[in-house]
Amino acid sequence: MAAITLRNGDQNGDRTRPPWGQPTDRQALVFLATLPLLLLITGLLIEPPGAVAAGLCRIITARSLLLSDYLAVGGPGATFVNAGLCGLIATALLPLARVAVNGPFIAAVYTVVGFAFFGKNIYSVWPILLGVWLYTRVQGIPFRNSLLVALFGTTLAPLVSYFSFAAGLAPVPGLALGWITGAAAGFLLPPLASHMLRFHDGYNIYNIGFTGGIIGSFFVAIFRGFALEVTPTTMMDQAVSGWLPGYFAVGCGGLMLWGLWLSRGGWRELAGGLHRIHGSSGRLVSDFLQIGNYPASLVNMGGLGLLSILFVRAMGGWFNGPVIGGLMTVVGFAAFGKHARNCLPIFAGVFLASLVKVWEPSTTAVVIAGLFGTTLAPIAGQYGVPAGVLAGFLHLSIVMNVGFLHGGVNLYNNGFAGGFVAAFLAPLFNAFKRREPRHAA
Amino acid sequence: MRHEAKKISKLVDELLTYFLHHYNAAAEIEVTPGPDAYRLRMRFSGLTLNDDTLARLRQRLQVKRQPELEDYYWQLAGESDDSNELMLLGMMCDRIELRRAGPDAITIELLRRMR
Repeated sequence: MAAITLRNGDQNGDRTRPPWGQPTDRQALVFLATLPLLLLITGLLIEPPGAVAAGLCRIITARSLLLSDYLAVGGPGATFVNAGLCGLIATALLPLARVAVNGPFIAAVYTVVGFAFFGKNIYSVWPILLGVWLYTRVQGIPFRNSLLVALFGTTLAPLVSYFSFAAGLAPVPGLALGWITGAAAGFLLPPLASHMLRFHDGYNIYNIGFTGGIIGSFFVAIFRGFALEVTPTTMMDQAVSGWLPGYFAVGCGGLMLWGLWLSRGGWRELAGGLHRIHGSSGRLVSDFLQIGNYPASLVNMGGLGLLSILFVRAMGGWFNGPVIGGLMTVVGFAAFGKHARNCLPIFAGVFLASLVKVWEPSTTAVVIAGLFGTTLAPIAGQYGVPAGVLAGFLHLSIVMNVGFLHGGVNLYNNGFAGGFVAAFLAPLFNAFKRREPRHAA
Repeated sequence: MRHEAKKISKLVDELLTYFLHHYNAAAEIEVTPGPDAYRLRMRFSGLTLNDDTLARLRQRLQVKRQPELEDYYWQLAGESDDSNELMLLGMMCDRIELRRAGPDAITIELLRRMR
């Protein structure tokens, strides 16, 4: 009998030729660096260097707790530069750790870039990275094994910002406490993140958001015991939409064109890849570069980005820092679990909830609940459209109520809320689902 | 290696769940620990896999071993009722061999080196 052997271990595998549409590692890195580079250049073009430098200083020393819109804190030039530099730092860590670009890492870099519009900055990410690195040293494992957790783990960067600059401490103790708490949080992340997956069985794509929420809640509860009050803040720019929707729409269109160019007329393969992507539930671990292919993933990223922009417009929302962060994150995760079929029900659920609940649809908190609520996309992908709508409907209420627990130090508050919603719904859907047909490969 | 025994049992869990859920297949399982690698041999019988199905299964398993994802996500293997994590299984193995073992049976052999 003929055997099919897959040699998965060797770096080059057994592939006599790369998968269709697959770029080289260097080309993939260029792709990953393109977004942060474009943002960096844009930032330097739209404001003079002096204003950018002053804005960056304000961003670095800001409270940075949820929701701190860096467009309001430092101005658009400094914010774009901050996002670009944070993205380049994240991208540079991949070759340094000898990690190849794949769906999860695309999602991680785009998430870092997105949240650099409202909470992460070129100062506050380092202690978290240091903490994860220390964990790998203590465990005797390569840093690459925890790099993904490290990148997503910068969700707790506000811990660093807050204690370094905004807790009312003297400079030296403040900086020390900021680095110590940040590194401690990073150190705790890898084992907890892996374990927390079982709480929601992979139905909450932003698992580090859930883990960060747990860690942040523990930290903040302890601090509150020592009269160090940490409370969420709201500082948002309400008048910056102007050119931003067009800018990011062009970017999303560019992603789609890049995917089409990579396909080089191989429409059948491209369509097949898109079909497989949209047939995936999106439950962790769904690397669309493997499930579909590279060009199809890029088309999906651009397409879902455009859909998200339409969603923001339909809700009547502003394009401020948090909304751009949500958009970037959705685009990134369109390589790692999200597509139109599993995201639209979540959008619909959040929208319907905003019609009947006390929150206005156009407020930033509701708009980003819709965008980031797609952390629950696997619920829709696995259990169907009504389940996804229900998940989105519930998510809005939960996300509006869990922020106090961590005081805004966990930027992925929707991932925190999504963990509870997924853990609540998935077992119920499993209990009542119909028996599936057999014989599915 | 950390959690190595549990990871091996997760690999078995994933495949066993998959073939029980989708094919109600009978299974024989052999796990051989070695000084530097684990070898798993699983034989599933009482199932009919045509060439297309086998090719789709192969595609889902044809993933390079990725320690950068394995250390984080390994706990998800075998956690779903219908077993969606065959790709994760691929990420955790150095070599996977699928073989027809008769008209209604296949064997799957996994090699997982300890690093």
